[in-house]
Amino acid sequence: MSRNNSNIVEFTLIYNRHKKRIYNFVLKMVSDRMLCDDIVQDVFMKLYQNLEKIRNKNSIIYWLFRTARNDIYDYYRSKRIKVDQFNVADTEDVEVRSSDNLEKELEQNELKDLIMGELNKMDVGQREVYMLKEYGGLSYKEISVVMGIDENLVKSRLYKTRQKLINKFAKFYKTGV
Amino acid sequence: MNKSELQVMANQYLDGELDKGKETFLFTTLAEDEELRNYFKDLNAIKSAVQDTVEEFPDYLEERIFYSMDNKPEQNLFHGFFNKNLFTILSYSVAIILIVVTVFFYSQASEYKNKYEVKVEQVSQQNKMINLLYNSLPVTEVTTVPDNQIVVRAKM
Repeated sequence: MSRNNSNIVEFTLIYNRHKKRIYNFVLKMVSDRMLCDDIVQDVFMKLYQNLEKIRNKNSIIYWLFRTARNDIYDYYRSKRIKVDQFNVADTEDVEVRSSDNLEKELEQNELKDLIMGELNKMDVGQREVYMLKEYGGLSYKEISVVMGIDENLVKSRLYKTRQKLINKFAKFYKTGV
Repeated sequence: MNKSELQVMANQYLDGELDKGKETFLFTTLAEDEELRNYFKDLNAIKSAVQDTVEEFPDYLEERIFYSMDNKPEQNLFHGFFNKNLFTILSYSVAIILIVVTVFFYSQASEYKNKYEVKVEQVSQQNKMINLLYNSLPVTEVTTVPDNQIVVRAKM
């Protein structure tokens, strides 16, 4: 197998393993589908171009998430948008089905919207930890390496984020909004 | 153990980060503490609601990525390299040209200097030779024929 072919095979394996996590992480961070597509494409193109330079293949997960983060931050820096403001909710139509569970489904969709809305209001550092955990599927240690922060800070940020969400969530059920 | 520590433990369990040894303690506490049980339920509900928002990787994006891999990498590498390093390349080129020109002029100047010194030496030698020849000339006398006195005598 030629070197180029082996690169493509290796790239495809890594791509298939991590594409969904990277995509969801970026999408939830930027809340803009087109921008997300561009960033994800760029991340994987960079991976393809730099695959030979990445010696420690076990660190590819860090490399991918760091590159995605850098691309997100670069984009907003280039647009001179304050990092804390970078979420503009991507309005999506709620899919309404004529089922018996319509009410429950609407309630679920509202809950998801509520959670995403609440996350968007949070400080970017806090939100990022949560996104890396829930959508990136990273461990505390991996998040601390990707973000360059202490592991205890990761735990504390996750805990605080969930506390906020639980408060909102409880309110949602009590008031029946 | 206070309330927030127990909540942190519940968080860690949901994240799969709680030590196996502490799991039993957590389950026992959950069985006894209703508040913690409710907290745990809320945590679970939020987690599953968030997991419901996870989307599949779109096919069009996959096509886009593999298409760009097939077509652009070399071009991108080429353009990317020149775009990113244009200033550096220009600076290095100018520096190399200046070094070459400097070396060329320096060697030329040295050559002219050597030639000049040789010429000066030659002139000096010739000057000495002329002086030598001049000094070696015999005394000149201008006489008349047949019996007149000397009219001109060189004083050397």
